[in-house]
Amino acid sequence: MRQLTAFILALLVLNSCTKKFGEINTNPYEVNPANLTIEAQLVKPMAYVYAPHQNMFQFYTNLSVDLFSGYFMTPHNFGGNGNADYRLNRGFCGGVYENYYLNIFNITSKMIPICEDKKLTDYAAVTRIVQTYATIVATDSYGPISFKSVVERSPNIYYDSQKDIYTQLFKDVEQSASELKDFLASNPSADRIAGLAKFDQWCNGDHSLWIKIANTLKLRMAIRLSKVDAALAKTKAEEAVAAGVLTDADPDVVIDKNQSNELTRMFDWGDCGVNASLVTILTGYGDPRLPLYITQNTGDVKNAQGNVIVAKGTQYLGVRAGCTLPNKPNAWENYSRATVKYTTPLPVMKVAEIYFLRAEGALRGWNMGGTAKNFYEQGIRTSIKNEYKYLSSSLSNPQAIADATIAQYINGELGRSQNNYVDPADASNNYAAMNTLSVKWDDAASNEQKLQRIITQKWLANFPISNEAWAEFRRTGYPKLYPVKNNLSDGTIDTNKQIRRLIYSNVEYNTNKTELDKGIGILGGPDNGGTQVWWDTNAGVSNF
Amino acid sequence: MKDKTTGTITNESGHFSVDANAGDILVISSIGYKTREIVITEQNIIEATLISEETVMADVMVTTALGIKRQSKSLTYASQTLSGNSVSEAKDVNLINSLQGKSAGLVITPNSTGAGGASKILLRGNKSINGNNQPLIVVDGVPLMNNTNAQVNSNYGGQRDGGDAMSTINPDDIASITILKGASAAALYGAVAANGAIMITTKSTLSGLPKVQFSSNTVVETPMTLPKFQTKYGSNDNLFSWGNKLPSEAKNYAKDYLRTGSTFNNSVSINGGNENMQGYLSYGNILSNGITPNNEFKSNNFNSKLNFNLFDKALQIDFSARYIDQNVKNQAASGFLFNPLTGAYLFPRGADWDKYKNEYEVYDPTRNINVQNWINVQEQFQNPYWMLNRMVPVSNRTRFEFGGGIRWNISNELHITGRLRQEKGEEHFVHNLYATSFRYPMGRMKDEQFFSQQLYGDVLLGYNKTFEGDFSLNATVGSSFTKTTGKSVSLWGEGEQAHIVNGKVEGNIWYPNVFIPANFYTNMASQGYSEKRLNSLFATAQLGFKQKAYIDVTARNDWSSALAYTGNMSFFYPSIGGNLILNEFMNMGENVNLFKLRASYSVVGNDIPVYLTNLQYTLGANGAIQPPENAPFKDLKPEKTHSRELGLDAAFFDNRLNVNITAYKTNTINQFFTIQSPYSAGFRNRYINAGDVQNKGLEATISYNKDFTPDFEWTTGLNFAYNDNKIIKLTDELKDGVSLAGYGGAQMKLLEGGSYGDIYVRHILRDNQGNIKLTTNGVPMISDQEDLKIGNLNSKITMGWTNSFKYKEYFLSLLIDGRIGGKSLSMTEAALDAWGVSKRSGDARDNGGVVVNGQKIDTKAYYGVVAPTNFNSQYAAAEYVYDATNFRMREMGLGYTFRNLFGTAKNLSVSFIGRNLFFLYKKAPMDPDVSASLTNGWQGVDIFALPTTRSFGLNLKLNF
Repeated sequence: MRQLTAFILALLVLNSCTKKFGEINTNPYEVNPANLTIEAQLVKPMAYVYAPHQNMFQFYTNLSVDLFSGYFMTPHNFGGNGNADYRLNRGFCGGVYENYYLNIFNITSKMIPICEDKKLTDYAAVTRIVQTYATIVATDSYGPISFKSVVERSPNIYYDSQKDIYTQLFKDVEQSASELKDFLASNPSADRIAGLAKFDQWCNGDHSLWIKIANTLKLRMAIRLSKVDAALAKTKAEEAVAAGVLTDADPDVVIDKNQSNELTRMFDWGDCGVNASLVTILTGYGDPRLPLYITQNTGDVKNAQGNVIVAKGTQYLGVRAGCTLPNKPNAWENYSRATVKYTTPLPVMKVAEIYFLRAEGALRGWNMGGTAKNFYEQGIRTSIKNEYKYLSSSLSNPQAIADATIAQYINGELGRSQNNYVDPADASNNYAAMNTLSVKWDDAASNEQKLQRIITQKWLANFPISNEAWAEFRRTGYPKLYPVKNNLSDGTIDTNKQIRRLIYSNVEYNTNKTELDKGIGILGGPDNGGTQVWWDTNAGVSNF
Repeated sequence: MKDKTTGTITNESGHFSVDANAGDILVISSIGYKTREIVITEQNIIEATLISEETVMADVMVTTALGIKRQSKSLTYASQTLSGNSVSEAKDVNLINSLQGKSAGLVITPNSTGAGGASKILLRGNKSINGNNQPLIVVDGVPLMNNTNAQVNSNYGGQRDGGDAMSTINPDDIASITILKGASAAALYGAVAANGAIMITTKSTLSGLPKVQFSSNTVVETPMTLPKFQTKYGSNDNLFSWGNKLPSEAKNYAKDYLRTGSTFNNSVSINGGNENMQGYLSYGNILSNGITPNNEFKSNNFNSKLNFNLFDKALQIDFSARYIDQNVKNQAASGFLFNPLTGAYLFPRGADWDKYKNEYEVYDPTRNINVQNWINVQEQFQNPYWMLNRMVPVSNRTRFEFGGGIRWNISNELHITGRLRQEKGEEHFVHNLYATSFRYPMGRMKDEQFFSQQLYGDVLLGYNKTFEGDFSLNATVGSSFTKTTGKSVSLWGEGEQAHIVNGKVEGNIWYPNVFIPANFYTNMASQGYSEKRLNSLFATAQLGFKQKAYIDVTARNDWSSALAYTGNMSFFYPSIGGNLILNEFMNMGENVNLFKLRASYSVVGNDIPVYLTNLQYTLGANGAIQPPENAPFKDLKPEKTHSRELGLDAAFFDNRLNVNITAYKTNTINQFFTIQSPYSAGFRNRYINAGDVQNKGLEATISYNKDFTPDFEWTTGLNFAYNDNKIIKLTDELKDGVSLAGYGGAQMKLLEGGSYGDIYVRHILRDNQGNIKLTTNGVPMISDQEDLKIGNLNSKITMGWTNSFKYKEYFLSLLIDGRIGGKSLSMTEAALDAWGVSKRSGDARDNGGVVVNGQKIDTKAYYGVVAPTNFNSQYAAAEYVYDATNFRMREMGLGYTFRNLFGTAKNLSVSFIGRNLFFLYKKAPMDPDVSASLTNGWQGVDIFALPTTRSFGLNLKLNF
């Protein structure tokens, strides 16, 4: 019996030993941020402005905002599940929400106070600018979103009005700009200055460029509020320009995709096409950026009888919005695609945009440091030159652009009007041109016409930054985009006014319904695609 | 020897030798035969014939959990033992498939992936929602490493079947298989016992002159059932077959594509030694060419065992080693893309099939490579012959096992055993795609390696004693540990169109068709790792009273490393059972040989995933680290299954009629759920333990044996199982239920009050009058949600019926099995409609359209919305759900044994065998017992699955 007891005791000691279990249950191929430099945690939010993962990229904006911007259109409709016909899919509409919170805001909101505690004010400032950039996309898409409660790490995630969010974002960019200025003024050591470059994919560690980005975001927001709060917009815009925004001495802010430009995937998968509006505007006006932005049809287009009606590589073909296209494979898969290559960087902010922002400010009588006409023309010139600088290598025969060609375009000599849309695969999708104003600036034109020119050119310059395109289309109505052919929104979206916002993600419905309902109350209308967000006023009536 | 401690075991041919004195009583027993007693006289040679007794196990020793042997009649739970013959007669490449239909409630669904594939094994219904539902596989008392590196879990395609442990076992090495059907039987395995256990006992080493056994099995295979195609209407667009009538009928491309398969399964073994040392060696070899052209499975299987007896058998030492390699090429897998079957099925009718078949590639002088030659460039399907030659998936698997044990018989009552087994598995999977494969104008490299390892050790102290004839005690205390690790390395490089810009390669690749990492500008390499340790202490005691009644108690405590960081790593699992052998208490007449009632109750656990309690950051591209998307599960508890069972085992008429009935009820609680969190709170998901899944059922086996004449014998057995599954509770946080699998237009969803396997589908909408609602285009309206519950993918009733006849040296065996109820979904049939290649779509065109509300609608327009052209089309899946009820001739064997052909007991037996010969009853257009993978929710779903095959051939067995 003693032997037996000893045996059992020995077993107990041997096998109830769990000392190493903690170590065993730790994945050696994962990391603990406590063991890494702080910069490691600041990389992701910056990268996810263009989600560097093909599925997230598609989900983030390619199935929603990209379609409504007039740049892109799905060449099928996910078996009736896509957003293209305005039968909005809560899952697809939730992409912006998912990327913003999981990949950007949850990290930035946590890291900003940590950086401040560690007296890394430049890190905090830069991260706050990234956060502002992403927050604009999120609130512009939905209207009210959770902002303050996330920053405060509140156990209860509640919604803020878009007005409160914009008010806070102005403060945030102002704080960032001044902190960065103070940082540079404090004579930091070379090592401290070099620190930023460790995680800075936007500006490669250039603090003064970040100050300009902060000011430019302020100008962008001010213009966005020009109709809902003109006085505030004027003050903020003039402050921003006085403080120094990006100019053509600065580079476009781009993220080097290092062999993984995800936009290429969208087309590879046959899940993305080019919007008929973009194609007909580019071709109609003889835009020099046409081959840089899009290719000719990627395959033979055949009719129902199987005959080739458009041979591969012979035409620029866009896809009309909301045509309830059949499942792939179908004829539209072989239409044009974006010219981008794997290596093409994706733009975060283009210098050309700033000239158009200033042009509109000047048109509104604000002190922007120049005239609307000059800013307008400089914007076009900067855009075309910069696109040739960085996109021309995507062409099979890289080209340079002559100043004379640009001048011809600015003078409206390359094309006078948008082309009519003709769909070779289905004539019932055809639509007459909507934009007939020439490129050439006309001082005698009405303010409305002047604004149409400015916004149309800003839209062209900003390709493929679709949030700006869609937001500014909603604010101004320009450029005029082809309406959906089939509107399956059950009357919640007006076909001519077009879609005004994304609906909230089903995740919020499933998990945060009480607060979401309050958020919808703040929105001031039902949670559908027809409700206008706070800054979206007087749409389609007058911009002045 | 009766009342003595000496004894021996016969060899394969039944020979044995034992030291005995005249007057001793020799007791001869064998599984499946009636025990016989013979009084020894002066003679040296005794010949004895045992009478077959297929299912009488009353006095037979049964292998129970941990390999502890117990008398069959002492058991308090259901178990069934099958002889090695049941898997070595009509062999299958995966031996578990040979058990189909042979045991009540044992549901085996092979993946539709051909040789080298895994099979789903289910006992007493699905219990775990997000965990494992497969029983434990135990070989000679030690749990076998049963990892699976890859399984299909999407209808997209391009996934694969990484095989399972059962397919690595040579059927000729097996002595018997005991199925411990419920948690009570397996309770000693505690934390991993919830799904029952399959206990495999391999052949023992024998003393005596070396005996050689040779077995050879050759079968051919053909598809058991194929879809019906239309061959009249051609194609306009070289894509769909919606064109005009063809001048002459098109070929059946699927038939042309699939070939007659063949499998050669040979094995040889040698066994012998003396009383103190015996050895066993075996070698098995399989070469299988499946019905897919260019598909090949090869396997080598070495097994060896050594046994030493020391100090007059007081100390027994055994050692075993096993080596297996498997090589699988062009294994089939379900899914739309990367599946050659899609191309063969959907090929536009009337186009030049032979051209693409014979010339799947053509030389492109500008690129200086061969490029794919195919009728179009759509992603849906590629040239199947290109795929089989230039997109070849190859898997090389190797497995090593070393085990040893030592047993010290301290006294007649007390013994101590220790066992140790180390297993290592490796798999190298390569799936390189040549340039011009779809999406990869410059090709793709995929090269993956998996390493898995399991170290198991235990010590058991056993005590057996009969006290004064009234009470007997059979007790064991012990401890075990299991350490499992898994590692993987994956290399992945994708090539787009190549040209060099500014000295940098554009498109990520330098040269086509060179599949080494340096050829890719960016190679996405990744590593995976998992490690788990399970420590256990256990005890079991069985108290018997006069061999009339028994009480059985087990207790086990487990400590799992996967529970680290939760504050409680220790869990206790008890069980209790009892039985009464009524015929020993009262005289039930001489026709009742056994009448036993039994009952048991147990609480056991289920395997838990690692790392959930301690989620870390992951490192992504460009040095970005990513916080865990899910909140760490700091109060994770293992799933818990409460199991109750009641049973009756009876034998009548000289043990000729045997009946076993078991009723059970299990409730599995603490189910592991992932609950969505508002993303704004910083996490995608959090985890909880909740829920209650109940399985209630009945298993019954009845068998009868009759000798018509001394030369003519008939044995028949019927097994039947009924299982009713119910989701008693999920959690209030999952009001919309849990979606386990989505197939496009259909999903398997679990809802409170529903059952595991409920399938929800999109469907054609009807108005109040029952008329089909039409859209403005005049085609049926389809629901935009999977909101119609159309049935369950599991059948409640499964059954099997065996019959065997013996006349002199002839033998005939037949097995019919089937299931009643349940549904199967065929996305294949649906896609054939959408592409205009199904016979249905041809017939509809012959009739001028599909009749809807009494009116004819254009066939193409109709199937354009009702059926899917693509893996993510949302179609009316309700139209493609079929009754899964089916009965089939599962096995048939007809043979003859040539006795004493080359000397005494040197026999040759020859048999003609067939498996899956034909359906006796079936309503679905395909085999409803189709399975995409082992993953929960992927059985009963056909997405361009390889058709089930019928096989028939010749089996030879030679002993000398």
